[in-house]
Amino acid sequence: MKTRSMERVAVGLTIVGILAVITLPFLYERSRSRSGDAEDLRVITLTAIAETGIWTADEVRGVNYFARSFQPARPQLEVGESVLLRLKSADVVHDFYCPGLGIGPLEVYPGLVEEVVVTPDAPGAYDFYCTTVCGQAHFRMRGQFIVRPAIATYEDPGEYWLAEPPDSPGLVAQGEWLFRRHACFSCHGEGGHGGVANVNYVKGTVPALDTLSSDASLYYPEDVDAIVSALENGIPLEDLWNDPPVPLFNVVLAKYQAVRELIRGGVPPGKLDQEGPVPPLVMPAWGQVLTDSEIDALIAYLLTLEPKEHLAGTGG
Amino acid sequence: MNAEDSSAGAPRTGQAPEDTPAIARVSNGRRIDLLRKIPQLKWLVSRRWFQFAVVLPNLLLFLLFLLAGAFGSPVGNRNIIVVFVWILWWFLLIGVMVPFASRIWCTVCPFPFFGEWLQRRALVAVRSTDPRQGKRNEGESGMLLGRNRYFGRNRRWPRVLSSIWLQNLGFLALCTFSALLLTRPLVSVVVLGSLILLATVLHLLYRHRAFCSYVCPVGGFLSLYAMTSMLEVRSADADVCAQCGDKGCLAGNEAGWGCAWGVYPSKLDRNNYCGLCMECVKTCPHDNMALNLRAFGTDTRLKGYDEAWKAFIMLALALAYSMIFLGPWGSLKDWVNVSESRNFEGFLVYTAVLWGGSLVVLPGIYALAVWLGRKLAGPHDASAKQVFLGFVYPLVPLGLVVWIAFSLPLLLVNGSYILMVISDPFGWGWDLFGTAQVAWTPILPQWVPYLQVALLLLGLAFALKTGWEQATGLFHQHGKALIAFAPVAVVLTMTVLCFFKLYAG
Repeated sequence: MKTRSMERVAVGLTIVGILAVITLPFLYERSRSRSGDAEDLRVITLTAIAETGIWTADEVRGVNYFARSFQPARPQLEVGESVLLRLKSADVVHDFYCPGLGIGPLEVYPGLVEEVVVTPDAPGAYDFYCTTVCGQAHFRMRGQFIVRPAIATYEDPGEYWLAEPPDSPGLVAQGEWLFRRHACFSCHGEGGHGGVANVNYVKGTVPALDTLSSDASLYYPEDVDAIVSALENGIPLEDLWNDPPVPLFNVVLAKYQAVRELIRGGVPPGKLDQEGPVPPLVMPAWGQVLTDSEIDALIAYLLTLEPKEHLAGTGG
Repeated sequence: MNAEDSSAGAPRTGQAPEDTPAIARVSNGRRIDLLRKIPQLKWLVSRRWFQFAVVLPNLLLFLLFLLAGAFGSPVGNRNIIVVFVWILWWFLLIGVMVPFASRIWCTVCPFPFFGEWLQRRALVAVRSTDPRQGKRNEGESGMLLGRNRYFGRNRRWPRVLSSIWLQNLGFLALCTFSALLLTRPLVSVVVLGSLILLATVLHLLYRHRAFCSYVCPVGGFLSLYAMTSMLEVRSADADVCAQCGDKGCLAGNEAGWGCAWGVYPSKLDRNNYCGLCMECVKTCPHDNMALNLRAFGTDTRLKGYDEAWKAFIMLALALAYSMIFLGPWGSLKDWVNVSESRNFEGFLVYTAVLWGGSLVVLPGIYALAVWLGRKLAGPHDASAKQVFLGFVYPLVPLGLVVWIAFSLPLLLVNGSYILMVISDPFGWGWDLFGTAQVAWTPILPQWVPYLQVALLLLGLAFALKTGWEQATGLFHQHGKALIAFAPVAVVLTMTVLCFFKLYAG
C-alpha cells in the first residue's frame, strides 16, 4: 500500500476509533437501560452515600462525586405499580431494608447494582433504612417511599374537533357525535363514565353523566325511549305537560330543564378548600356554541348511556 | 549534523565526557540480536505503520478509561481506570515490561499521540526533503530539521531543564497524592488527561519528544530502571555507523523520522533515553540496527545527580507506599487519604516526611556511607562524584526489585477486580463477559510474603554484586574496594531488612 493511502487509512481508523469509543458505551448503556428492564418497568435508582448519610436518586458519577451535593431521595410509588428498584453504593457496603414493602435486607456493595421489583399494595409512607453501620452518618441514613393511591392518568384525546358527523340522521347519534366533537368526554370520561380528577373540586372528580336517566326518574328503558322519541320528533317536553308520556313527568321535565340550562350557561366548580387553587376543569357555557336542538340531541344521547338492565333493576 | 543539533535530545545530565566514571563499561556481555534471529520481527518493526498499529489500540483503550473515570462509578475497584491503570498496568510495567523489554511502554504510549501527530502532520507517513538536492522549501511547508519536516514552533528545550529533575519532582508530586490517585477515578482522569494535554502542547512548542525526555513523570523512572532491562536497541557495528554518510537514524530520511529522542544510535550505550520507537531500524541505510537480548542489569553507569536522585526517590517511595498501603498503621492511611479523612495537618506531615525523606534524608544517609567508605579506603584516583554515582547504581536494580515486591500483592490480592471491570468497565451494572459478579478472590495470599522475601533477597544479592563491581572498578585494589564499599553495603542491607520487616513481620 502506498504511504499516502496508508496515511489516509490511519487517519480514518483514528477518527472512527475515537468516535466509536466516545459513543458506543453511552449508546449501549441507553439501549440496556431501556430493554434491560424486561417489562418496561419504571426504574428508581437509589445510591448510598456514607459520608452524608443519604440514599439519593441523583446520578452519582466520577465527575460529581467530589461535590457531594446529592439530595436525599423521597421516591413516589403508586398502589399496584411495579417498579424496578436499583440500589447502588458510592463508597462502602450498605444494607438496604424496607420492611413495610418487603424489601431486603439487601447488601449493597460499592460498584455493584442490586435490583429488586417492588409492587406496593396499599398507600402510605414506608420507611427504609441502612442496617449496616456504614460510617459516622449511618444513623441518618433512612428515607421513605411515598405510596399513593392509583389514579387515572391523562391520555391525549387526539384531534376530536375533526370527528366526522354521523351517517345516520338519528338524534342520539347526533348527540354522540356532539359529545365527541366538543370534547365532553375529556372531562366527563368516555361514555360519560366520569372519574376524571379535578384538583380542589368539592366532589373530587368531574361528575359522571351515565346516570342521567335514573337521576331524572326514568327508571325503565321504554320511558327513556319515550322521552328520546319526543325530542327526536321536535316536540318540546313542556308541551307534553297535559299528556305526560312517562310517570313522574314533572320530575323528568324539571331535570331536563335543569340540565339544558346547565349546558347553555355552564357552571363554575365549587372549591373543596376555599384557600386552595381554582379547580382547573370548568363546565363552559355552550349556549353560544350549540343550538337548542343540538343541546336536545346531547341530552337524548346522555339519557341512553345508562345500561338498560341497570334501569330495569332500579325501577323494580 | 550532530546529535546536539538535531533534536530535543536525551537529557544531558550536566555531564562532560571526562566526568563520567571510567568504570562500568562492563556491559559487553553476550547479545542475541532478535531482529536477525526472528526475521518476522524485523519485517514487523520495519513497517511504517508499526508504531501506529500498536499505539492506536492503546490510545482507544486509554480514552475508554478516561470516559469511565469521568462518567463511571466513583468507586475505585469498580472502575476500569483505577483497576487497569494502577493494578494491572503498573504491575506489567514495573514487573514485566521494564525488566524484560526496557522502555517498550514508550513504544505503545498514547500520551504523545496527538502531539506527535500535529508535530509531524502524519501518523505513518514521513515528510522528508534532502537539502543536499536543493529541494529545501520547494512547495513544502513546515520546518526542516535534518531531512524531516516538522510543524509547530520546534524550539530547543531549555538547556537548564535538560535533565530528569522535572520528572523527579513531578513524579514525587504525583505520588504525594497517591491515595487519591489509586482510589478516585476522577483524579486519575485529571492527571492522565493533563499529561496528554501537556504532551500535546509541548510537542507544538518544542522539538521532537521534549515531553517524553524531560517532563513525563512515568518516563523518569522508566529511564532509570530500563538500565536493568534485558532488551536494548544498539547499532550492530559501530564502524559501519562511523563510515555512514547518511546518518538517517539521527537526521531522518525518506524511510523514516530522525530519532525523536535525540539519540545517535552509534553512541547509544545505555537504555535510559531510547524509547524503542524503531524508527532507526527503518532509517538505517545499512541495516545496522540491532534489537538485542542481553543479561539483566547490563547498563551500570549513572551519568548525573538527577539520575541518582531518581534512584533515591523511587526507593523512598517504595518504602513509604509499603508502609501506607501494606502496613497496619491506620492513622498513617488517614493522613494520606486526605480527601476522605479531611486531616490536613496529618497530610502536611506526611508530605513533609515524604519529600524530606526522598530528597534529603535517604540521599544524606547514603552520601554519608559513601563518604565514610572513601575516607576508610584511603587515597584513590576516583573523584567524589564518580564514587557517589557509582555506589548509587546498586539502588537501581534493588529499587526495581523492591517495587516489584511491593506491586506483587497489589496484583495477587486485587487481581480479581480485573475480571469484574472487564465485564463492567464503567461500574454501571453491565455484564459483558459474564464476569461482573465474580467474587473478590485473592490469589495465593499466603505465598505473598515468601515471594516478597525471595525477591528482596535477589535484589540485595544483585545490589551487592553490582556495588562490588563498581567498587573494584573505582578503587582497582580489592582491599580498598572492600573497605570503601562496606558502609554502602551496610546501608543496602539495612534497607532490605526494613522491607523484610514490613513484608514478612
